[in-house]
Amino acid sequence: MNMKIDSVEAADVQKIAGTMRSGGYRLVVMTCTPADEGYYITYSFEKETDLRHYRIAVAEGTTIPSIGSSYGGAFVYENEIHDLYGFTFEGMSLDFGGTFIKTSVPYPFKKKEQPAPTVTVVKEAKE
Amino acid sequence: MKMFKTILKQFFHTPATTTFPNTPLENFEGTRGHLVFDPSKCTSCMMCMKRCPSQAITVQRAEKIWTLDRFRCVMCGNCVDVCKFDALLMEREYAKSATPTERGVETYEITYVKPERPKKETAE
Amino acid sequence: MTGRQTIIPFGPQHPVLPEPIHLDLVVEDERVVSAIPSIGYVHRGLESLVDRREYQDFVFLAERICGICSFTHSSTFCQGIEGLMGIQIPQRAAYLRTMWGEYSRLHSHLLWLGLFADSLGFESLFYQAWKIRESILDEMEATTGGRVIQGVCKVGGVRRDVANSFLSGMDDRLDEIEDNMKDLTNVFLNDYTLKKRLVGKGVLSKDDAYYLGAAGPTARGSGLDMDIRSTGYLAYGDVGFKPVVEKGGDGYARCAVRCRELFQSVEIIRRVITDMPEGDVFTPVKGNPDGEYFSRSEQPRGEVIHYLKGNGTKNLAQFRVRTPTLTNIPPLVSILAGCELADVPQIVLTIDPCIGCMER
Repeated sequence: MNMKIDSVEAADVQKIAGTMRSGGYRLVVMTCTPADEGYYITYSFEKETDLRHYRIAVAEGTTIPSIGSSYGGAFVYENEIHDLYGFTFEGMSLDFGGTFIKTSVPYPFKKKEQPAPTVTVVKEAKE
Repeated sequence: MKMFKTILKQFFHTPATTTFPNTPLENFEGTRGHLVFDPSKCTSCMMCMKRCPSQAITVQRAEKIWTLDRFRCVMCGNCVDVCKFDALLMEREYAKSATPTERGVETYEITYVKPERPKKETAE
Repeated sequence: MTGRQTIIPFGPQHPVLPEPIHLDLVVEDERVVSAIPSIGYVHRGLESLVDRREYQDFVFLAERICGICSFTHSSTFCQGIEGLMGIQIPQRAAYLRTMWGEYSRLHSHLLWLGLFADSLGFESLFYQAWKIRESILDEMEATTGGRVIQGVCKVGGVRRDVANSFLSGMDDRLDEIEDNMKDLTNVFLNDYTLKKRLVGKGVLSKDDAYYLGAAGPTARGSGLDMDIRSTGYLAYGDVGFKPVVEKGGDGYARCAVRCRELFQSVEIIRRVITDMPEGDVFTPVKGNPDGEYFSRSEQPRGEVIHYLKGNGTKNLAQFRVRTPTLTNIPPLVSILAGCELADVPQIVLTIDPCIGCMER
């Protein structure tokens, strides 16, 4: 399986999705990953057994062009990334405006200043 | 004809379900039912506490207390695998029902005594 | 003349829905014009726990993403870690994983057939399907120790071996299960009432299925030859796997794919049991994972992808799961547009929604 990831510019995403679509590739997954600086968003496309990954590096809270015009099914990933990481996608085919996944904390998977505690010991108050 | 057989079966077959508290539940040799702790073998190495995926086990080394929150335990058996001293064991029977206040948290006092090292015989 | 449009909320609590998903159905008279899905009722944020648990313990958590395809989640996660660390698992472990994976497919498909029959108001069929499923759960419990959550996968292999004598006994029991399933699927595929309600309802064209990202039986029901098992991971390369494909694209085709996959799974289990190699079931693992990996495998519901990123410590840096239900939502929306209101419950069920695993 191909694990090679090509880096591309964020502005070219729509163009790449367009060429992939006309080449008969299907969208497999969009993955958001916190990186050392900012975040990476990886687009994976597949045609039969040819799996390709394209990666864009984005800073926190930026606006990314949506690939919804080429792949109608991309809206689930884009809304999810919007709700969990706080990115805005421009031109989504179906925009939920932040209500796709309802979380009690806004953007829960965003990088946090303080790392989460390793072990939480829950103690019940004794009466 | 087949249908007739199916209909006839309906009159004679026994129920597919069991009356649970009266008939004990069927289980298998490898069933992970509930966790059993042997306080006489535990050396408080804390491995089970560190490796428990659901953080159900707490070991207080200084007080020599081993606690299992049965409502957090997911019966994965990871602690049994990591315990080097055979202090933990998975039993076949499922645990009896309980409420969080009653039998929800099991506390044991560790009774393990470190065996004394055989003294080196001093050369005479 | 176009009627006034009305919005009917469907779910999250609805008798046919096993799990909470909400659909806003825009209705014109009795016809659904469009549907807007919304999820997020059971989001647990399980993926973010990955940096607080050791990668070997996270297998148990990965297994709990879903309650039905649990085994496939744990084996996919282990497969990912093994890919990152370059571990070759023993042949016997790969065969055992294949066997359990197919057993979990059997139990998931039977569960779905039961729920589907229930959604059509066919209650006795529901009981029959679940009765057969019970015997499969018994096999699972006898071999792994857990009925639904098996907890038997481990990075580097499997935690338990199955005795060869037990495996040969399994073969006879499979015959009985297969006989029962034949009677059951006969009803699903040939019953007049069921056919009347399924054929031609909720048609998903091949192109739509491909570009909207359908996966699993939903895609195969539309004539797409798409199955990760044909890449031959684990032991699927050795058993000569061929995907089940139906051309219809409607609810009946999706149901037929699942019915035929039941027998295919039994066939695979038989092959695996007879070819089971001897040897260890586990290789010791040393070190920590580093790098990135996309681990893919075929769940009962379709293709699942685990994205893993290690940073050389015992905790992974990032873990992300894309479950088949998530990619089956856009096809569902496109199927629902234009259908009758009374068909909505059964159309929603034909994609086999598993919301708990979709939201993690």
